[in-house]
Amino acid sequence: MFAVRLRIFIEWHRAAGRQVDTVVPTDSRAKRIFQAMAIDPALPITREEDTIMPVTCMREFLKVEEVAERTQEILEYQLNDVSPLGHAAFMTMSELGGNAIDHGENDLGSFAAVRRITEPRRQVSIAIGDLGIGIPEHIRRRYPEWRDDGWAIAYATRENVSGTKNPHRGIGFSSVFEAALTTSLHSGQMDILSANGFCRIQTVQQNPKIEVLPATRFRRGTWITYDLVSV
Amino acid sequence: MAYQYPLARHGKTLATRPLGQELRTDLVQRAGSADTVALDFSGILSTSHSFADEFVARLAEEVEMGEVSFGINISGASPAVERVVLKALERRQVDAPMVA
Repeated sequence: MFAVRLRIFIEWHRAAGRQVDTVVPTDSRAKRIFQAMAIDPALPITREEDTIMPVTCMREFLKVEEVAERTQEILEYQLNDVSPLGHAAFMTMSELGGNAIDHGENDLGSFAAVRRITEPRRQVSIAIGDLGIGIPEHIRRRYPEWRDDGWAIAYATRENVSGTKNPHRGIGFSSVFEAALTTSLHSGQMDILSANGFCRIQTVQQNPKIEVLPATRFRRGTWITYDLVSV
Repeated sequence: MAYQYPLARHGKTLATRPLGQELRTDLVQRAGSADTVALDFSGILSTSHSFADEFVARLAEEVEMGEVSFGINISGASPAVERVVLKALERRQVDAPMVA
């Protein structure tokens, strides 16, 4: 998520006409990750085997399609140790990426990245962030009584709960958790931060366990990190 | 007369609701006077629930309500794709036969 946050910080300032200069880390490993993750799009991107998807801007649904497909293909055809996570990663990118474009309502777009982590366990880490209106404000258009941001996020993850009036919407989060349960994974953990809310959902081959945790500060937009740990 | 709509023409994965809407419109235009349209998922690696809802389940709803003049069936779906499609149909309480 740190790479996505940095990239959005850079893009936001540049979009406002401010000059942003980045200094690449001197530590060789940090430098390799910094360049591979495309944290500053003005710098050349280098390849690194754990970078499944560098930070990518998604302003249109077509880009979500591309990112979701490429993520699944890389996982299933190129990274054998985490290949069973391909379908769950596809579902996450397509549903949550689509949500971000649909409900995010901001010109900068939504940003996503996917990395493989091999220690201490083999896992795929997905991050999606945007500076849009945030989940609590969106969901309160339909449910104004949900005043607590953390609980508003928690309720928004339930099936058929949506900020729109369409009874068939609001299936994104539940689809993501269902895909995790039908995938050969050890566990999954999703952290959602938006406005003053922090919600954590854990999946360990059972129904998702939802916790509302104290948020340390207000965060504009929506910031989702999803770690899928392979068996 | 049967008409086959090969989804693999649009990519290996089918991810978003707007794509589902676009393909449903495209299919209705192409089906012409066909009695049955086979939604051919051969070669599709994955489909999202939003796509399946917008494309398959809404189409099945239109068939049941008589808004389109053809019937549909689903063919060539992998177990993963079939699971998502069946869930989408279940959510809207509609049906479409799966054929081998």
